[in-house]
Amino acid sequence: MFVAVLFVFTIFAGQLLRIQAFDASATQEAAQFKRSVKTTTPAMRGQILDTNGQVLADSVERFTIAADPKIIPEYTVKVDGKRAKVGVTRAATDLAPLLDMSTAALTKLFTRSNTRYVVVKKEVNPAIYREIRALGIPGITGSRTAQRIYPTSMALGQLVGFVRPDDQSGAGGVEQMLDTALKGTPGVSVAERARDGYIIPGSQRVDTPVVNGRDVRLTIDADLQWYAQNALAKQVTGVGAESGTAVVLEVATGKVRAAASYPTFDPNDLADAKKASLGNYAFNDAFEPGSTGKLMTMAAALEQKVITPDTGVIVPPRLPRAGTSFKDNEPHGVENMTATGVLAKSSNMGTILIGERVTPQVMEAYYRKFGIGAKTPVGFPGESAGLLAGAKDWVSTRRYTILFGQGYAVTAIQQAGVFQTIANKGVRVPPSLVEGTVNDSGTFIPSAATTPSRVVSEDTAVKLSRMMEEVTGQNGTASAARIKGYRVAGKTGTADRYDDKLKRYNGFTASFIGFAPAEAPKYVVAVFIQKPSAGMFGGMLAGPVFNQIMTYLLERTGAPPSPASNLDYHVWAEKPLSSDDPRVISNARALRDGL
Amino acid sequence: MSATTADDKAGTASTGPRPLPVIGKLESPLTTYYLILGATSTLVVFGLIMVFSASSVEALIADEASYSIFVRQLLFAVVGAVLAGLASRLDVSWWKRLAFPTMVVSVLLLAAVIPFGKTVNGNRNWIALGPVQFQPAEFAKVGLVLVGAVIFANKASRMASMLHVALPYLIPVATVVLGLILAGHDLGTAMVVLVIIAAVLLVAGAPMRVFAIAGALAAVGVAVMVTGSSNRMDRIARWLDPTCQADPDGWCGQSVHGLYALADGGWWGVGLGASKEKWEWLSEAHNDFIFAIIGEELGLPGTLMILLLFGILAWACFRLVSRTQDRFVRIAGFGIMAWLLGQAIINIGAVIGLFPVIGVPLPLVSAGGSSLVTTLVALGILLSFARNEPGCKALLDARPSLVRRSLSVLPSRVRSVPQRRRSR
Repeated sequence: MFVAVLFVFTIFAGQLLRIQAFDASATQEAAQFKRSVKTTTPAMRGQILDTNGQVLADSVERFTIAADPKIIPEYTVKVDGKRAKVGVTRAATDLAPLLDMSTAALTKLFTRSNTRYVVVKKEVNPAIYREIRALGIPGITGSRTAQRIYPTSMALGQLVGFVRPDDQSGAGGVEQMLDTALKGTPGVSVAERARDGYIIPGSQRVDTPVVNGRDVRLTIDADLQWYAQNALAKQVTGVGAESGTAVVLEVATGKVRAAASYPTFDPNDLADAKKASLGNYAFNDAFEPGSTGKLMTMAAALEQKVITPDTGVIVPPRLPRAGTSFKDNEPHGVENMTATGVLAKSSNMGTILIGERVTPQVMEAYYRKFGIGAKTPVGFPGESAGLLAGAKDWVSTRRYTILFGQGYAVTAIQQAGVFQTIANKGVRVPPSLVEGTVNDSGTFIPSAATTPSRVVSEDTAVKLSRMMEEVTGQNGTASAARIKGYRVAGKTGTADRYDDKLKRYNGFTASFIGFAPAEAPKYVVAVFIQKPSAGMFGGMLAGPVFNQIMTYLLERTGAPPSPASNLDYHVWAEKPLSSDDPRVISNARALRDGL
Repeated sequence: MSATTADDKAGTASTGPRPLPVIGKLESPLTTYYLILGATSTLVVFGLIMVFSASSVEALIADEASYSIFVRQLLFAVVGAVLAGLASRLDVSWWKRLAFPTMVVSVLLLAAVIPFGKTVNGNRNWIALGPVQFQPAEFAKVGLVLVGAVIFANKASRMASMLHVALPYLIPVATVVLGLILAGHDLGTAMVVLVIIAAVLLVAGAPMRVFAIAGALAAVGVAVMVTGSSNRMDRIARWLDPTCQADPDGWCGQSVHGLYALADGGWWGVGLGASKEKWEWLSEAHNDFIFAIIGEELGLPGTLMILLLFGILAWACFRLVSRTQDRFVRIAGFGIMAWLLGQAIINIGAVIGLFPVIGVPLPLVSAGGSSLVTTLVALGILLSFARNEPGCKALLDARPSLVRRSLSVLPSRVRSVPQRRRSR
């Protein structure tokens, strides 16, 4: 009998060696897999700050409360010192005030059959969640989530963008553009749990530490943006326009200080947002600039020594080119202007006569150097590159319309950049939107500055800037943009607006872009009003908005009033012009030169 | 097997096998006594520690103090130890006298279970007397061993007769006990009782055809029991089903988690108290499956140590049985040995996946009051037998009192203290 016992024990010992030692690893893995529970800690999304550190987007901790209807009936509380199973009814009455839901609604959720997971409420405050957890209702769980909050709401909605509510990933605007930096890495930790979910003490192990998203600081000045947004919104609604944009660029750095866009949406409340208004018009909407584009024509002509600001231009009532008869906005007889006057009065024919003296190839090169037809380095989601045909395709009427801003498309940012170049003495600094990011150790790392490039000489830029002052001058097209005490350089634009839906021109783009004080500008302000139903001229529609924003900027920066310019430019030719004069630009001379 | 062979066996055994040189040094009339005492105490203490470890989590989760089950077990261990101490002091003749009363009381209690009992885990085998709950079947085991020993001790020359073998031990005593236990659907205890009956018959020298018939009857009985209960039928069927044996959530979950625990422990164990499977994964962790928790926390040294201790117990019993001249002692000793080791083998075999899980506790180790107390009493009986080995009593009586023995390990300072004081 003892031998039999020894025999059995030997077999047992052998089996134990097999189970515990030699064949243990696979079973160990299965056991660990069974017990292990992976918890993902969502990374807190970084803040989006404006240039002064004002919070534009922030994430707060929230909890999604879920229920397991199968376990809730096990809810037990101490009643008079005795433990009693109180189940669903009590769970519902206990939770109702905390969750701000009706007992009936909760009971309905808790008694749902054939499911072990019911979402009870989303975005529950952590303090409330702690109270819920203290109740100790079995089957009630909370998973940590985040809610994105946009304190500046509508004023920066289209710029800051929004996140998908379900996974908090950036889905528009800066949120999408900088998603990689903002989102961080969710942490993964593995723990072993007891059968009903208790985490076994000491079994936690962090697999991937949670890395919160980085804060990013934009070049945007929230106060300025707010002001611009308000001024723009008022005008867009006032003139019954379809949309509008106001861009403020810092002259020396190309930094976008404001990119207002209207109609906008509130990123806190996506349900009410219209899909069409989720983008930012300043970056995403490409349109024909119209007369503000004449700036590039003039800059090229000045740089190519085709004109000086004083060059006489004989503008005829009609100008036949490419089988069409071009005209100006207001009918007039033969006018003896200066090149300055052509710009100030925004004469299409004058611009053609000047611009056609520069070959399309050279002209195209200037346009491209000004940043037309290429996306800015901002990389805003949905950003348009605009559209500029190559010089060989500048045929027929397009060869001429391009000179006065029709037949190619730009974004508001690009067009503001043209003016930034002139304001910055001929050096273009490509626009930027991100000041920098805060790295993991909390240090602010500035973004790499964009590479400046000289487009025209300083002499050309200074002369052109002075010419532009006449636009807001006595004879100019934009008296509404004038600011008392300051020399304001700018250009109006009244463009035929191509309607993508109708496939034809319909309505206008009224714009004004300018800078002040013209002798030492710090900011370029560009205002575009798309498809106004009342009025059409840029000076009248966009000028006042420019005026408000620019005035606000001048007051805020405390810019000293402008001294008088030492350059004396005139709109009208001081002496009668002769088309025989080889220095005077006229149709006759163009014909002589075979243009 | 005839009575003569049994006598021959006893005769050769009494001279003893030639002791091995090493064992020879341990050879003494006290060896059996100390082996049983040592192995039992070690198992009980070991069991208490492991019950504490294995039960603490579930007790805590059940909103009790984490030591509540341990304290209860400790209490039973003390009661059991006292009873065992008393039992070991009783003379063999007392056990002969106590045999029938024990049997009668346990049968009455067993019968009382049917109307008044309490059902736990599908088995109706508990009875409550005031605040104390216990399983009468455990006492019946003692009764069966003693009664069998008394009956067959006097029937040495009549063992060839089927009638004398069967009456009165098999019928009615064993049949009644078995029937009452099975009425409570307690298959595990029934198995152990069967082992006891078989062992008693075997050592008493019953003819082989008795075993053949009894075996056949038992097989039929078990088959009826198994097929009669879907619960047990499923247990057996699923034990044979490999997919069930791999599914930690299914019917075989307890078995699977038992193997998980053993594998987790590996060579050296995860450390005392560090079991993960005791966190509600392994059901009956402190009870029927305590061996798995031992394996998990203490590794192979833990599980092999349990085997070793039961092996020592088996060897000690074997020594006792083979050296005694008293037929009563031989049968009773062998019966108790078969009981303890049979139950241990059924339990451990189930935990390590060799047998189906039928739910018997590991003797001396598992939590469970009546089991522990009766097992200790049974071992007390074995000790009393061991004390009656030739020469043993004399040696034991020659020992100084327990108090002086215990104090003698302390250095005697009575004289040295004043001397040192004087030398200053």
